[in-house]
Amino acid sequence: MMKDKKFRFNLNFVNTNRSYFFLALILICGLFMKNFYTAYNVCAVTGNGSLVIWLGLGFTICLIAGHMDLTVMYMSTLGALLCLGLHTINGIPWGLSILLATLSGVAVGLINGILVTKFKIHSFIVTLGMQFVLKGLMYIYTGGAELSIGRDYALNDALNAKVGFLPFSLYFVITTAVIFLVMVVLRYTRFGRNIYMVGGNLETAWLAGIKSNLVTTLTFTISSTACALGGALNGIYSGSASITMGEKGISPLMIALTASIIGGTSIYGGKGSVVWTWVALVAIAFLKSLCKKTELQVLVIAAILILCIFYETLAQYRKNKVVGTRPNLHLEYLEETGKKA
Amino acid sequence: MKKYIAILLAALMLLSTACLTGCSSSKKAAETTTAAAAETTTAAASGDTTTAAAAADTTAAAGGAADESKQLLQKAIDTIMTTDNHKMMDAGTTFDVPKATGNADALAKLKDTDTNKWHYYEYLDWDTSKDAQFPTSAGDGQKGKHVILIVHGAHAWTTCYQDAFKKCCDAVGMTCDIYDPNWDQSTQDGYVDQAINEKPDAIVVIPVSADHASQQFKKITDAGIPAFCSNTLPEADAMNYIMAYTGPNDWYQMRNLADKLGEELGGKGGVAYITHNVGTSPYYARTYGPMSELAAKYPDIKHLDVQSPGFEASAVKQVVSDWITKFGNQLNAIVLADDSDQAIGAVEACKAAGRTDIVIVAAGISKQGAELIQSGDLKYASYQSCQADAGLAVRTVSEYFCGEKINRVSYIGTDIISKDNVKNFLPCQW
Repeated sequence: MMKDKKFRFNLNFVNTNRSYFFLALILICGLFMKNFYTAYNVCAVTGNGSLVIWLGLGFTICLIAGHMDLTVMYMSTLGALLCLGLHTINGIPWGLSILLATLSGVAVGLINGILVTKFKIHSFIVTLGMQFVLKGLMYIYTGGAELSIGRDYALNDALNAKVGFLPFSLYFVITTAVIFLVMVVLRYTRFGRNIYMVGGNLETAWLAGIKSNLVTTLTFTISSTACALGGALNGIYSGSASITMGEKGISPLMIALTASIIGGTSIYGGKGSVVWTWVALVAIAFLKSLCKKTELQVLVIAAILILCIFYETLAQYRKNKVVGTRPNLHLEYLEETGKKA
Repeated sequence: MKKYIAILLAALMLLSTACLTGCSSSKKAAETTTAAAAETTTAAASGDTTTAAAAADTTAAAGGAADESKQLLQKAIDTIMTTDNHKMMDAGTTFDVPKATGNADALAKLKDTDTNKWHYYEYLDWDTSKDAQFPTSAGDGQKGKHVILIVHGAHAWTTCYQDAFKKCCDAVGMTCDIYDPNWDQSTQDGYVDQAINEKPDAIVVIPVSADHASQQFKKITDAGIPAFCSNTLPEADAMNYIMAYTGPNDWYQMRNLADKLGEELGGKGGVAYITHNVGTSPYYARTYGPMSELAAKYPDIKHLDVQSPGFEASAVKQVVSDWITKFGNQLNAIVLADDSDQAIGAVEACKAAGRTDIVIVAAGISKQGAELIQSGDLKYASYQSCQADAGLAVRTVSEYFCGEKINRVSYIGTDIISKDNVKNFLPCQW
């Protein structure tokens, strides 16, 4: 005889997969919008949102390791300016320009990591200061001027072009490939598991024999490298770069932070996924196409963020309430004695 | 893991289905259009009189629609006035571009006071042989056409521009949508993509950045949509992708202003400059325009300093106070890029220091600027009509739709405002 099972709405399932639900909600709303589901729109929206995905990647990795990297935005701008400057001013080929721009990210990441691990300065302070250092460097390098690709449209067209039959630009496909590569590293390699352990409980990780300083330094390096590479590619994709990129309008750093939280990454460290952040950022990118007014976009993103934080707080409160207790004691008794619930 | 894969697959399927649907609809529409065109050509070639007559009827109808549109346009030109009682849709003017004395790299090495250095900033001197393939106008008039306007950012000036643009569009029978990226370059890029996706009949852009304009207009022109640039001068290379630029001739306005200033100073004295946002076209025009003009016509005038404190009155006041302390009686005039907050700051600093002898001129014209001119605190301001800027853009787009020949570059009229004639420019537009 089949037991009648009551349907219970599993809020926990929704919370765990909230970034997917967010994306699904946006895509469903898009069904009612004219010209939302066109190949051009999907290609443009995802391409334009790719820079923030790189920032989200860097920010999320550091957050999982229990740190904050506030340099993500300026690192990407520096990468873009270096790449464009080296090619258009110094005549260096695109490949080498991108490589050199990426290496600048490696250098900055190493410095951040060393300052945090060896000098024991909080990552918030280190990266806050590094932001201004990077901005100063950019002013020295460019003199305040904006850099562009000039008439060299070949690589720009290639990054903007659709990949085969997919309605996605090459830039977005490269971004997504890197995200999934990092996901594989985080989930299936020892180094990746170490990042989670260091973020979850630093002392326990150290006691377990994990070289937490090395892991932390490498995390910052990966973050800055990703942002520099993403910035360099974005500079070519969009055709120009300036120091004030992202300073007006909604800050890409704030979007990356918001998406990391909406995606489910814990700000205390030890929990998160770059894929969740990617899904949240793709949803935000499509949201920009749905809500044309900037103010409306900010309102929607803020509403989603508030809901997420509210649920997390409530869940934490409920968890703390039953710490040390056995809330299902009555149910356990009924099962043991064979009586019906 | 299974859940994750299931969700991802579902989302991918949804996206792919939707995109394929979108792609196939576009393909069907294209096939229908091509088939129709082929049918018309075949019919005409085979001498099918019925279809040829239908084609002739269509042409006649288009001609009739264009005539009606032209009448609407002419009526709008004759009747719509700005708030300060000038024609809103007046014809633009063009300037002959003098021959450059060298290429951009060579000219960049000249002194800032040398007029030749600024040739490629001042004139839209582009290589017309590299012009893109622009879409041809159907010549059926502007009535019923849809235009998208993408401005640069929120400001009292922009609100005035948008209102005038909409008013002119309504008058000539066009509809318009307006997107405001709030001074953010990447947001404006997103709006350009969205605008292209909407497939309007034309797109008018006020670029946030002159250097980035090429990429934006290239996208629009490659999509087969007529692209027009308004107000902010783009870089010269961008003109290869722009049907027409309409707007103020900032350099000409500021040179006129500099001439008046030079006369006022009697050809002697020290001048300092407060600039517009660094890197924008007004930054160069409103600083180096007057500087090079004064250097050419009044070589005894000294150029003391150039500062970029922004548009906050308090910041400008601080800079001017520092100048007065540093230069003392050597400072005889100040050139400002803005006649509202910058002028307020400069005037307050001069009054506080008791230096009411310093001549202040500015690019105008706002309500605050007009008040300062009336009070005598601001000596001269250049006149740049925001509403006429919008009106000229709408006029040029309409003329394009009517199949008329349009100038690639058209400038709005200008004047110099002083205490004697300020009443002719009231009430101010913004």
